[in-house]
Amino acid sequence: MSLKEEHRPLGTNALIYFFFACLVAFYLLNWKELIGVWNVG
Amino acid sequence: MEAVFRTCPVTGLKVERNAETLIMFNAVTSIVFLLVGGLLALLLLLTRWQAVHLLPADFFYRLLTLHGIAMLVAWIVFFEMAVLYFASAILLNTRLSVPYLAWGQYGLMVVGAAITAVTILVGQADVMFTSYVPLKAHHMYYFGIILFAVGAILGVCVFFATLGAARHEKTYVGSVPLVTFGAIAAAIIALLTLAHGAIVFIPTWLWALGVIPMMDPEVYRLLFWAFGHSTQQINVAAMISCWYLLGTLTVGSVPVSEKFSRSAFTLYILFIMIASEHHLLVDPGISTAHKEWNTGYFMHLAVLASMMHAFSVPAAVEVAQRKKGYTKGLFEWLKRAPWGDPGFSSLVFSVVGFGFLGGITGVIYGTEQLNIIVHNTLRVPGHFHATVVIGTSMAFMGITYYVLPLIFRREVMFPGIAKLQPYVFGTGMFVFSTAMMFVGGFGIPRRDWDITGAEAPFPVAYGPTADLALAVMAVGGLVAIVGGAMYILVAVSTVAIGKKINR
Ligand code: HEM
Ligand SMILES: [Cu+2]
Repeated sequence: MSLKEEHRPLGTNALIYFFFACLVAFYLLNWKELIGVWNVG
Repeated sequence: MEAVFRTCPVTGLKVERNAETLIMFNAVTSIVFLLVGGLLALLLLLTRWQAVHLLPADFFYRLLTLHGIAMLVAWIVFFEMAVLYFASAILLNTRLSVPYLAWGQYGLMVVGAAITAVTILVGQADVMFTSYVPLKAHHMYYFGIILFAVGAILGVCVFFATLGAARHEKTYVGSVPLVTFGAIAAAIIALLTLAHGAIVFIPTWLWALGVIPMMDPEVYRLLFWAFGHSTQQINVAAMISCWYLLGTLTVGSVPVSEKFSRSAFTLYILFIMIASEHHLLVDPGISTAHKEWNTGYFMHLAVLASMMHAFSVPAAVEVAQRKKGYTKGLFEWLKRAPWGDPGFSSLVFSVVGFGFLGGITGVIYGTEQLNIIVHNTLRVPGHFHATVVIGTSMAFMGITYYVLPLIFRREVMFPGIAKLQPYVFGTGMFVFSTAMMFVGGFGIPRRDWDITGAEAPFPVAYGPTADLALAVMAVGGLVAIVGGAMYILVAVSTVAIGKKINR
């Protein structure tokens, strides 16, 4: 689809990056806890 | 029954009498169950709030069973029937095919839900909505569920018959609209799901009647979740159809790419069964390797589809807003959005709650590796209240604010309350779900009346932080219950005494 430059959904794009940052952060947080529970290493 | 039409002055759609009446009956019934489930939520909440601990143990489990059935099954599925009739007859400008069958749907579902609810209330089915064998309920409990499911199958058949008739009579041009496409995805998944429902509940019913001597718990859980998890996927597909519809109704958005969104719906149909395994992660009957491959890796294919929708809906809203001239910076389009329209604010809560809170936690809790510390703790209901309540239920609530004037043809009463409702309900539920997940992090079990271990041989203490978090959860839940009551007040009084809109 061709959109005019000023109509491109750049705000949503930023929100998507934020979403993935949250996803990765939550993954790390839970892995840390898991390793804590199992006392690996 | 003859087809009688009127033309909607707002949308120009042709609205048929039967379709309209059936949408109304299903929608009103669903709201009645929301009211029942909400009252029970209050009692359960005040019991899980350890400082109050309201109900005695037997009532807690009884009402918890009914809360699950009234909310997850009755409120959601009755509303979905309304969505199916809307997405077929109304959006395609046609009449509802075989209206007799549609009344059959409604009748069977009402009778089935009533039988199951009464069986629970009289204390004959304290089995939680999962009814894991060897827990055995009175046979009428399963019978009610079977009637309800048969009713739902009839509804799906009416939907497909209506689509066929519309195609045959050429009541629309080109391919069906995206919202209808999403409803088709939901309906296909529904057929698969209801087939599994029959496979699991008919033998269980016969077992409760004494016809079958034994049920295998492992097989039961496998088949139950083929049904139970897929049911959630129907909800997701229906919710997302509502997102697209709300985008159009509130800011006039059109999907950024029809192909992209349609492919995402198709992914749901293809990968639906894969994710069911996240309910069986502590089951000894499945190998660890199978669990890890499936829920650690393949599951993300189903997640991909949800992300595609959750990204494309806001993008469509943004493009529509930018085309109105709100092009300054990254977020002027968002700032200038119709925040006072309860349809729009519900949409935002639904997308953000489902995506961030429900989605992220679901993906992570649903992997084999992490589920081992999450399973059966309060993290699980914390997660799914974000998906089925903030996500699905708020999308349905948002749609209601448009169904009232368009289908019921009444002016929405108490517009001030309606405007605030999504904020109260959404904020309360955000706090409730987040706190519930946090409490679960202490290892506090779900479905547990006695977390102090009053009758345990050794003392159990989760510490003051957990007690505080339980109190935060309770306050969030109470705010959400107020928000739910506001919704019911607006919807019921509009239907009952709202000002008629003249044609
Ligand atoms: C104001 C809104 C609500 C509140 C405060 C609330 C509160 C609760 C509480 C306290 C529990 C018990 C958790 C446990 O002890 O394990 C629960 C369970 C549950 N709720 Fe809700 N709830 C609300 C709305 C909903 C809605 C709208 C749905 C579905 C669409 C829903 C579906 C469920 C389910 C499926 C369970 C699990 C039942 C079981 O474990 O068998 N709830 N809820
Ligand atoms: Cu599931």
